[in-house]
Order: sequence, then structure tokens, then C-alpha cells
Amino acid sequence: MTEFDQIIAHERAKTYKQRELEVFTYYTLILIAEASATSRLKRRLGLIFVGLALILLVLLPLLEGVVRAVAAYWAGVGVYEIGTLALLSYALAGLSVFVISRRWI
Amino acid sequence: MESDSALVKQTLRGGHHHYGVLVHRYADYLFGLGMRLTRGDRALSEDLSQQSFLKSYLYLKSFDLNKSYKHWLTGIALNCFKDLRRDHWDYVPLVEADEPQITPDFRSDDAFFELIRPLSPEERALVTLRFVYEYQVDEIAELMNLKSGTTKSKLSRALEKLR
Repeated sequence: MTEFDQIIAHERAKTYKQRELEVFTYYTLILIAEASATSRLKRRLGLIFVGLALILLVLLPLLEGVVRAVAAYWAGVGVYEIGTLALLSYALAGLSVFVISRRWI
Repeated sequence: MESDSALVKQTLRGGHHHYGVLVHRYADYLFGLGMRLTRGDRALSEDLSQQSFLKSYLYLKSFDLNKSYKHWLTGIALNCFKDLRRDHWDYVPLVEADEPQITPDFRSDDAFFELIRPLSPEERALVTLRFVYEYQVDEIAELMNLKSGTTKSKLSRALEKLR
């Protein structure tokens, strides 16, 4: 028997053990659960994305009319209307802050 | 004791908890394979066995129930080892090649690790599978995605290095 054969025979007879088999198994299962949850989530997100894209594709001709109406409305709006709208918004926001700070509601 | 294929079937039907039995069953086997491939690197061997179990779970649907699960798992472990050692797969790093040759003491626990020191990770895998695990050349070729002839020639080159 050569030295090579002796080393191989010695190695074959040897057994290696995980340090903490139970902990290793438990941790591996956690990793597996995490990986499968991630892939499930990715699959669902993909499906949602495709679904939304399809819905948009169907609704686009219907939305076209609405978009055109909004665009037509905003085309007629001038600086005066925008200024008035901004002033009203700030006034409403200020009033809300005042009411909340006084704890009336 | 339930067979491996029965456990795989249950895992595919009912989720990952059945897979725990398979992990428990082959954890030491994969760890031992990892220790031999990494020349006794305990941390790397643990990583390797964990990655192998994770990958095997993710690809479980592709497992042929008529074949051996252990054999399939070994192939996955070898692929994981290849990924870990991608940069040094078929050559020996200079640091190791330049080290003086040590005559291994066959009684020592590290004798095998010393013996395979001059080999590249790929050659280490070939020698380990052929001589320690006693796989046939064709089986090794299948496990390592090599042709039978290539496996034979690589194996004989590795043995020449060991002489």
C-alpha cells in the first residue's frame, strides 16, 4: 500500500460533523423561507405590473377624452386665475393650521 | 425512515418544512464534501453546504424523482464550489504554488489537505470525488459538466502533480 493509498484510506474513514446540526438546519430553513418569499413577491409584483399595463392599455382610449378636456380647460387659464387659486389655497392652509394649533378640533 | 424522493414530493406539495428532514439528513455529508474541497476551511464549508441546500430547494421542481437526491445534491454543491472559486477554478494561486512541498504524514488529520495542496480547486474536486467518494469517471463527468475523456485526462494530470 503506497502512502497515497494510506492517506486516502484514512480520509475515507474520517467523518466530518457540522458544529451545531440543529442550528444549521433551522437557519437554513429560515434562509429558504426568506428566498421563497422573495421570489413569490417578485412573481406577484411582475403579475401586478403586467395587469396594470394591460388595464392602462384598455383604458387609454377612454382616458383620451378626459385628458383632452382637462388640457382644453388649462389652456384657457391665465395668470390671474392661477394667482387667485394659490391665494385661496394658502389661506385655507393657514386657517387649517390656526384651527389645529388652537385645538378647536 | 422516509425516502428522499418521498420527502421531495412532500416538499413540492406542502412547503419548505418537509425539506428540513433532507437538510438534517445531508448536512454532515455536504459539510464533509466542503471540508475536502476547501482543504479544511470550516466557515467556507458551512457556507457551501448552506448555499447548496438553498439552491437545491429553489430548483427542486427540476429534480428527477427516479434519480438519487444525494447525487443531484452533490452536483449542486460542486457548482456552488465552482461559483465560490470562480477566480481560481483551474489554476493554483501563486502563493500556494510557491510554497515548499511538504511531505504529508499519512497519520496526521491534515494529511489529505496537505496532499491536495498543489492542486487547483477543479483538480481537488476531481481527486476527492474519484478517490475519497469512489465515484466512477462517467459519474464525475456528469456531476462536473465535463466530457468523459476530458475528466480522465484532467484526473491523470492531477495525479501526476501528486507524484
